[in-house]
Amino acid sequence: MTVQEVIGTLDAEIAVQADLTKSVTHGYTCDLLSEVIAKALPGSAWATIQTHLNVVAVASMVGISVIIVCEGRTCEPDVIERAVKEQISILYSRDSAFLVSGKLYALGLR
Amino acid sequence: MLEVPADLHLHSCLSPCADITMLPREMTRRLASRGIQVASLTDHNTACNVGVFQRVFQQNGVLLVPGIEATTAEEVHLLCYFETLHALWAFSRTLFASYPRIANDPERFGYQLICNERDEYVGQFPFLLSMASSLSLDELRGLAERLGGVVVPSHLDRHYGLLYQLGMVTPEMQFITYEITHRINIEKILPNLPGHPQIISNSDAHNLDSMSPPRFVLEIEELSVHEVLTALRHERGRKVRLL
Repeated sequence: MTVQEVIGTLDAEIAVQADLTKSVTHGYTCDLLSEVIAKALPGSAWATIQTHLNVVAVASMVGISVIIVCEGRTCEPDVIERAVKEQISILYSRDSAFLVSGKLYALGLR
Repeated sequence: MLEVPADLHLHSCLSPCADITMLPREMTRRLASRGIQVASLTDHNTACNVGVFQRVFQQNGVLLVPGIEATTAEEVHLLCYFETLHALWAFSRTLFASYPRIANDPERFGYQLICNERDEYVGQFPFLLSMASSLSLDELRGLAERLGGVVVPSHLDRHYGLLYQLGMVTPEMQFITYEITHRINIEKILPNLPGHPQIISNSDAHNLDSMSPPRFVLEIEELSVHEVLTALRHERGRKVRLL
C-alpha cells in the first residue's frame, strides 16, 4: 500500500506532500513519543494528536512513512518546514485517532 | 560560596493528586528537620497556596522560591520558578486562562484545597487542575522567561517528563537545568541530553512521608531567590550539585 492509498481511504487533507508512492507496511497509534521510538515499525502510518516539532524528528528516526495528525489538529509552520526538509508526508484528519486506526486496520495494516 | 540544601518540587493539598495533609506548618517542620533551607511549592497549574506557604516558610527560616508545575499542551510537566510572587501571578493567570474548565469531582480526582497559615482548609479550587494547557512547551517556556523566570523540565525519568512525552531533547529546545527523580538514572539520561546541562533532584512529595532529605545543593553567594535562579541558570559561577 502507498501513502496515496492511505490518503484516499482517510479522506484526509495533505499538510505536507512528500513521496506519495512511498510504501506503507504497518500502522501505529500513540501520542507518547518515547513509546513511538521504542515500538513503532519502519514503514508505519502513524496516527497521533501530538503536533510538537519532535513528531517529525521521531518519524524520521523510526522511518515512519506518513504522519496522520488527528482530531482536526494542525501543525505550526516550523513543524511543516521540518517535515518538508525531512521529506515526510503529514496528513490532517478530522477523525479521532481511534477512527483513523480503524480505517487503517480495515485496509489490512497491522 | 554557600552550599544550600534545597527541595524545589513540593505539592500541597491543592494538587488533586496530593494528600490533604500537605499543609504549610507541617511541611515546614519537616523541611527544617531535614536541613532544607530553600524550598518551592509547585502545585499543578495553580499558585493559590504559594503566598501562605511563603509566610510560613519565612517565619521558620526557609526561603521560598515562587514556583508552579505547568502542564503543557504536549502534557509535559515543567517546573517554572520566578523572582517574585508578582511574576508568578502573571504567569499563573495566563496559564489559568489556557486550560479547559472541567469542574473537579473530588471523590474521583482528589480534593484541591486552599489553606491558611494555621493549616486550616479555607476553600476548594473549583476546576480540575490536572488538565493540560492549550499552550505549547515553547509558548509556556517563552512566557516564563519573558517574566524573568527559569524553566526546569520535571522528572525526565518518569511519565509526563519531557523525554517520555516528546522522545528526545533536540539542541534547539535544550534547557540549562533538568530534574530527575532517581539519581541512579543519570547515566542513562545524560548522554541523551544536548549541551552540558545541570541536573537537580527533588522529593516531588505528594504526601508527608515522601518529603526526603535534600537531594541536591545550590552553590550560591547568599540566601536569596535571585541567587537561586542564577544557580538554576548556571550563571556567574552559581550552580547546583547533586548529593
